[in-house]
Amino acid sequence: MNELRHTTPHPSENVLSNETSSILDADILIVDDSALIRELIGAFLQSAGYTNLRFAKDGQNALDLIAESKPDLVILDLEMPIMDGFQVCKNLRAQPETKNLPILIQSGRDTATDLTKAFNFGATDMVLKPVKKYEILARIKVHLENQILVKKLTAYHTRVASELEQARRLQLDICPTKDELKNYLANYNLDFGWHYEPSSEIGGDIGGLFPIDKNKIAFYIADFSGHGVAAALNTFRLQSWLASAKDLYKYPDKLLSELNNFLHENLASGSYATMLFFCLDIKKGELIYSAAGSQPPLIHYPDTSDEFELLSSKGMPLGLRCGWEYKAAKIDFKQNTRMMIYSDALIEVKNPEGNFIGDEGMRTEVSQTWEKQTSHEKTISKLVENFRERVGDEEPDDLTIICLENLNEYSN
Amino acid sequence: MKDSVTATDDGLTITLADKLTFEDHTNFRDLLRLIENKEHKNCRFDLHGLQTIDSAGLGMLMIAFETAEKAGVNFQIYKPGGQVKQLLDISEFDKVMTIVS
Repeated sequence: MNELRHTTPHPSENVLSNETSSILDADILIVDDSALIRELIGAFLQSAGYTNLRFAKDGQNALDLIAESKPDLVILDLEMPIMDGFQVCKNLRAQPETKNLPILIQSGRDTATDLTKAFNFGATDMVLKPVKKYEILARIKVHLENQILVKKLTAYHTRVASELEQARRLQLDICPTKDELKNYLANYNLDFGWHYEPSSEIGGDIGGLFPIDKNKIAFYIADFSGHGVAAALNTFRLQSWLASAKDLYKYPDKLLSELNNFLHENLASGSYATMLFFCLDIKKGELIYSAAGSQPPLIHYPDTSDEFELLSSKGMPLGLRCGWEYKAAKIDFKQNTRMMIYSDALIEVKNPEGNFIGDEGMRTEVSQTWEKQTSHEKTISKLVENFRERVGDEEPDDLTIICLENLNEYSN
Repeated sequence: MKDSVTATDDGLTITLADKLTFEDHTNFRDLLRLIENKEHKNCRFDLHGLQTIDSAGLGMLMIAFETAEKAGVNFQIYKPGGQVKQLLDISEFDKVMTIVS
């Protein structure tokens, strides 16, 4: 367990291979009003192995053929009847589907004004007449290879983005829905507020709720080290492990000790999760919890000061040391006691003065925001709004905020 | 990460400054080799100039400790401050390794 295991990422080989063989199948449209030049360019291309050639005799004819099916490259004359090459360029660049289509101009017009005009109208490249075989072939090859590479990278990017989006939805599925939270309010008289927002690249935050029996309910928040897909996959691993550890929900310390050993065996060396696991006994009004280096929970007892207090969340992060024994703490959690747990993203942002919010800053902010009559939803919205302002244009990390208030009454 | 290494009769001192983050894992691996080769009985990670550490950085410090533990080298973290100290504190690293404040 004492080596750093990291693999070097490399793009899928499929993304970058086989450009040369596939360019010969490219659909190339040759546009010139002179039949002789169309044939000449066609012959150059055929001699190099290109098989998929189409021809147009003027600009309008070219646009019609492009509308029928988009070619991979257009070789375009400038001076033609009906519609000239400049206009063709302009039309193609104005449409989203042909905005990036490679246009290779071939023309006898070689003044600086002509060249500037052609590029201004959207030409990709230019060869001068008389067309030289090896020059035009070399340029076509470069533009087709670029085109194919961009297409493949775009397809790859789209696929990965869509898969990440699916993974995000799977992560969101683990969180309790609004209806489920309403049920907890109806069945346990516990008022939960839950905000979970995975970052666009998904990440290592997770939280969940497990009803144990009519008097007990367990819940947790966890955050895996690192970012992205690997951290997200670990959240699913954790969720599966927890689903099979029902007997331990009443014993947060034992649960963390066993989970620690599981993660130590299964995570890469140096990777870990921070976690808080709670078991709330409604009948007794007691909360037992165990911590593994998470953000300290904020708690407010009724009839004390208006300020929230920080609870200890010290503990070895899970997965770092085999055989670690976790401790449990027991606190009163009677009527109108409120608690908030949250991921580190919330405090690892700077205030306008340039200082990190930190645990203490968040304690003050929650004390001011979550006043007696304020609902969870308003409190959470305000905290999220502040967070977004502080993050600005930066891509935020995963964010989890869970609020809880016990509404059960107790005699004495 | 900015790092400097000094070796004296007392042992190896690895001084880390600025940030210790995921990007540093390759350089950090080189530092681990210095511990592994067992030329020194003591290894001190001087963190007084380290401003921030992320989750990967915390993992690396644990790996460094375990590398020393395996090699029979005395390991010490020296004068962590600010956010680094806070993270070490909340993670109870002091229960595993010597941390001099």
